[in-house]
Amino acid sequence: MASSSSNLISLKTSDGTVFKVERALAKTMKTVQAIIEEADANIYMIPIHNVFSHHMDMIIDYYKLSVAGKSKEFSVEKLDNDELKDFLLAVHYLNMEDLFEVLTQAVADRLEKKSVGYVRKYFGIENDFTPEEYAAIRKKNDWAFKGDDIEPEEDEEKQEE
Amino acid sequence: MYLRCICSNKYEYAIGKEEKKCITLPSTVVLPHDLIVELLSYLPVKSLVRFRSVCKSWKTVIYDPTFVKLHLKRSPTRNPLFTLTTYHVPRTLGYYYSVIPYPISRFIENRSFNLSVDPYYSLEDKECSHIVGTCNGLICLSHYSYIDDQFNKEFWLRLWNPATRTISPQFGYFRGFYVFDFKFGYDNSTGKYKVVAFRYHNQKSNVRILSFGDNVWRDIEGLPAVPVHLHFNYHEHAAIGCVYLCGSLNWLAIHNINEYNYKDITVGQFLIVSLDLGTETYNQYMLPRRVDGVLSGTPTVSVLGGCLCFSYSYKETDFVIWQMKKFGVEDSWTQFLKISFHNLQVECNFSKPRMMHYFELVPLFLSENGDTLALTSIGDSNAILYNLSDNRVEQTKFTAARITTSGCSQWRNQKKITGWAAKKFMTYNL
Repeated sequence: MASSSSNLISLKTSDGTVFKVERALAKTMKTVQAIIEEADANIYMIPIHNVFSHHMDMIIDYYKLSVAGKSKEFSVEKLDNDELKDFLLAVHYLNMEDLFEVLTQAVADRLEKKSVGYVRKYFGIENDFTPEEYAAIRKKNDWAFKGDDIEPEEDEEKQEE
Repeated sequence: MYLRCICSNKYEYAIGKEEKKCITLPSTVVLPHDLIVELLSYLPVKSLVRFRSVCKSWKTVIYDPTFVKLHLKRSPTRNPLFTLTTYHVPRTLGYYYSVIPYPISRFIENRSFNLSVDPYYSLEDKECSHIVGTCNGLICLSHYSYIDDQFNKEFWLRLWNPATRTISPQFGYFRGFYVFDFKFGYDNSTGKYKVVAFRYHNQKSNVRILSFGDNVWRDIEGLPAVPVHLHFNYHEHAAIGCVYLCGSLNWLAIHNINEYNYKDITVGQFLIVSLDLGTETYNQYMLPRRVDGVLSGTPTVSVLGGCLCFSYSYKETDFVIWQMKKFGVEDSWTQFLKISFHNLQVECNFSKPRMMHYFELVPLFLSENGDTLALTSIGDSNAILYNLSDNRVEQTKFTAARITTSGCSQWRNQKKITGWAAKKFMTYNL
């Protein structure tokens, strides 16, 4: 049981798990904060759609580290690309500024040196350039495809074979 | 080798509103468009230039002015770059040099290094010989040619973004007599880059201003005082007499040039003349009143930690820097550093007959955490890194080699290195 007079807020994830979290943590979730403020009476349990218990576990981990001044120790290295994107969506939904920044930076870091082909697959984007258009834009920015450990494009790798 | 520094701070992006969505394929976690744009704003410029090839929508977004603003907002301090300029004798006549972006953090961590320079950074093929200034990572270049043998010249400018590797065509042509100095800055009120050309001749100054994109020079009121370090045409030292800060250009000036006697200068004779790039009018600021005594040599202005700074040699033994903590507030002048030349391991020779423009040390930049100050010494070719928390002094030393197809070759002869701080930046309209 939870009421707004206690220090804990109950959050129910999409997979039905109830997490009792500190009010301070709930405050970092602007979406949840808005729900609490809009509720006429004391809200009993707040459902958070799009957020699963494994997301909440990580959110709580991050919160504990940041309270201890160790937010830099938080790592998402063990998450694969889809898991990370998924987590990012959950945090985006909850509107948690700091953690959102951490995750977007983490995704950006993963993509920084990748090839255009990799990025397309990562976002599920189809190439809508004609071969001529692609060749032109590629040629113009060729320098950006080289050096600094940048992943070579697939078509180049094939040519080298 | 000489080091010089121009710090630039911000650059901007914002999100466009009408991008077509990308064609997406199933079986992957699909992120909504606005989230993707957020993600892109965390990427460094080189990656963004490359990712323009991902799809048509990304190609549009990445160079959109609103995205530019967002990207700028994201990384005000992330990995600020310090641009090294190597001065070398090229194949053709004329003194061109290369301007290379280099991270400040790497420079501080590793003070002795060998730099391989991509030929792209040479100014030679850009047909410009002078750096006017940098702002938000853009570098304004200038050049001129003689029209006749009466010292009439034709001047022009180019705006270069070394991060995106784009450069504007020549613009801002004008014909002028004698020597014009150019300064470059950003007007926050209109979001425009402006170039100021000024000349001091026959005890009068001519000042004209041009907004990038307008291509028309407009005459404005002359400077209310005489800039010191006038026509000090060495590229390395162009930033000591006038600096850009907070939407204004700030000159170190003196009221009456005839009263200027370098043997007997006091701080009270100097002032700061500040041109607001928005209103195009001048403000004048006094220098710290608490400085007494005679200065040895001429003071200089610089920007450290985002503040206007004033520095000078004191009694031939010490180097002093004052910071204007709140820009425009004369009471906020605070002494930032006073250190002996001896402790900085700099040998000064004040007994030499001195020119008006003599000064010994020039502050270059302050590290993000405020711990490390970089200085360059005029008499020496190295930079000095002074750690403010433990009083450690370190000399820097590096060599530069140009990357050629046949491997690295050392530059011959004049290998001067000057430094400008710039941040990686994307812009539009180039």
